[in-house]
Amino acid sequence: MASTAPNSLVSTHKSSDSSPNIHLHPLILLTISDYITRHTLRRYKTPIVGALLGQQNGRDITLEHAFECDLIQNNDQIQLHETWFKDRLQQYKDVHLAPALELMGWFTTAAVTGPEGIHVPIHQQILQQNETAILLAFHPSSVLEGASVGGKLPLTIYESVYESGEAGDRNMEIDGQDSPLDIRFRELPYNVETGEAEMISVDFVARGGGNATAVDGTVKKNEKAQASQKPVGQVDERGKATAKETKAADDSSLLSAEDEELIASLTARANAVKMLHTRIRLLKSYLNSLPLSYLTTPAPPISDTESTSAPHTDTSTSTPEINHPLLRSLLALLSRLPLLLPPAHLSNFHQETLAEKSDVELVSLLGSLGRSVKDAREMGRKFGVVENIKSQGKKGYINMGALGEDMWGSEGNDVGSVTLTRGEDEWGYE
Amino acid sequence: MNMDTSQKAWELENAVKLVDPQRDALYSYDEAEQKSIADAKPWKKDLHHFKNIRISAVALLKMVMHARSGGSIEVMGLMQGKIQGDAFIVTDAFRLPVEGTETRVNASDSANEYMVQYLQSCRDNGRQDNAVGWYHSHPGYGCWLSGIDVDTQINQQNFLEPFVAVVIDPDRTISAGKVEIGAFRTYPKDYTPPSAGEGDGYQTIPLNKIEDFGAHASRYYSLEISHFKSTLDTHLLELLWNKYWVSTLSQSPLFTNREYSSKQMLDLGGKVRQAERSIKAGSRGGQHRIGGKDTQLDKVIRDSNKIAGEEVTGLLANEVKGKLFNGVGAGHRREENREENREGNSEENSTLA
Ligand SMILES: [Zn+2]
Repeated sequence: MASTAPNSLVSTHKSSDSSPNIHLHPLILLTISDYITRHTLRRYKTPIVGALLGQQNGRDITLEHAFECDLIQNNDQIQLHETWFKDRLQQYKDVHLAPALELMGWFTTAAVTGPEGIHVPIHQQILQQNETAILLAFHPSSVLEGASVGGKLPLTIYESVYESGEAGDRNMEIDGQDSPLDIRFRELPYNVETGEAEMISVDFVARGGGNATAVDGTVKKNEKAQASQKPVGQVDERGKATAKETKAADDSSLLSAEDEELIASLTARANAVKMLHTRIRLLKSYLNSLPLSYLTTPAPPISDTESTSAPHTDTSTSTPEINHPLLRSLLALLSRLPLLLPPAHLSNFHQETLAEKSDVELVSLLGSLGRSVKDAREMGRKFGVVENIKSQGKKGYINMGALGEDMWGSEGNDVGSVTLTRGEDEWGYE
Repeated sequence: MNMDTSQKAWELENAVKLVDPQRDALYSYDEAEQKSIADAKPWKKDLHHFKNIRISAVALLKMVMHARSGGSIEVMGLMQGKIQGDAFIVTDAFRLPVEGTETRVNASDSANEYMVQYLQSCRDNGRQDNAVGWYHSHPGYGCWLSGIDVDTQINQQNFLEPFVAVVIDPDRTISAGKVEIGAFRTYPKDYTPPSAGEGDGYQTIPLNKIEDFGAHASRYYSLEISHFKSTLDTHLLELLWNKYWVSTLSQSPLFTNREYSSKQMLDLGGKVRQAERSIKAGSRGGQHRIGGKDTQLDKVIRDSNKIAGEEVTGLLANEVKGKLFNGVGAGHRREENREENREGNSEENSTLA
């Protein structure tokens, strides 16, 4: 089958209103990525196939968890190992009770052109468990081509539908397909959904500089490699903060843990704001590139909003493709903006914000109050030391001069070294 | 259908190219090597043999999400992986059907049975990685080992070596915005470590747990945790950032963690009272303990600094959000009004005047 020819298994129809909405979680991506990497390094030759678990709520399908599958060769067909698969699925269901996860589909690697005949037998098996099962096809080739166009993930999600086979006998790959209707795969749109804890972990692994270079077994090298790895990541503070012992050993950390956390959090936010900025600029330049006639059409709502967000420019720019859904959602977004903080709730909101802010300030104040109390205690203690020495000196038991020198000098000598050196240290800092 | 076309359709050739054998070497597995390490048992000779633990991206994600899904209930699971030098390499993790683990001393029979079956399925599928440790969650009270945890871990180090204990605090993970995780190895029952306590990092531990913490803190030591990811992971995570920067901007940590921070404040209040009492007791004795330390006061101060730090971080998140978005609607409204006014002006000057 020539790869250039349109894939006969992929439906030419667009996804309909009854098609499910897919919400993909990052764990799935990392599971597939982990699978491919391990599979390669351990030199397995079997195809990459795994099951997808998630929840179905009406037309919404979440894909939350995934596990790899055992395969068997059956009359030239590659299939799931039925009993193994049933056991494995049950094992996963047993530990995902709240919320309960069900089999939602499966994943494999495939070309960007879509699934082919060899993928059908497994899909049929999965369909027996869930008749609306979907297929997630991961495209290694689009990763290789660096085709991360517009941040698009290298995968496509398909639902399967039965259509009357107009392609006739051309698709010989479908062996034993007795039914008059042929299975077709229809591409589905999806979005990436991330839970809070999931996002923090993704952020955590994304930032930390660690790669998976295996370091030599000997202890010395191991430590060295890890030490040299640390400065690699730009925002490595997060990783550092959790490794408690590193912190103690790290002499370069002049900042407190709290400060480092604050910086990390601000950096994350700064990056996000930059991202927002580029996106808005992109939208603006798109709107600017639209022909003027389009911005001043008789339809009043469009002209209103468009004129506020995009300055009128000359029409001489080459007419780009006009994306009506995009314009419509832009309009919807702009008209929703005033609802973000309706005037009716404005004072309430301000009050809440103020209360929250005061709470935080109060906590900070408590912190500095604590520090002051500590300093005062320290002062009292030092005062006590001096008083003690004075009174002892008067009694003439100890050479006052020598001790006095000790108190103010730079090095403590043996006399009373424990208490006095402590005192000195602290004087020195103040 | 011949082998070539099928290989092509599965895209295995291309998949292989996504892997960098050098940088991703940790993902390999050498059964003979692992066997010889298990036979040599270097951890028998040196009680501090293990110093590091390296956790794969996927294992870390699974553990944190599991811990979070339990809410205020403790959950537990196992980690699979291998040994390399002085480090545990954790390649994957799976859940165990156990909850509320304070009664866990010996994980129940059903959990054991589950574990055996799960690992067998892995091996049937060609995955040899052994179980190298267990993880469980401490929702809201920090990463350390309780008395029960220590006993469990000692037991496991007797029978399942090499084995490591990992603790995750999902509540603090959310409030601090970074993964709160600790990894530990216990000492044998009859062993007393040379330098007990201290030296270890500092963390806030709630009053009702502090006794448990103090009583057992010298029975184990912590390992240094790092994580690793593959070249493909790195690539995908970069692509993902394009999707999830939105939630970085939209989250409100102060609001979502209100309950947690209230609990922290309540706890701090209790500790302040305790410190006050001990200071009073000290001064009633009439003696300034020269050179002595107000350990309890110090702890209170560290606690309150930590809480203040978290709160300030949360507040800044809110303020960034406010600066970005609060004016947006209003600005738009003003624009619109002006627009209307202008139109009104041009069209019907008289009415406005
Ligand atoms: Zn515990």
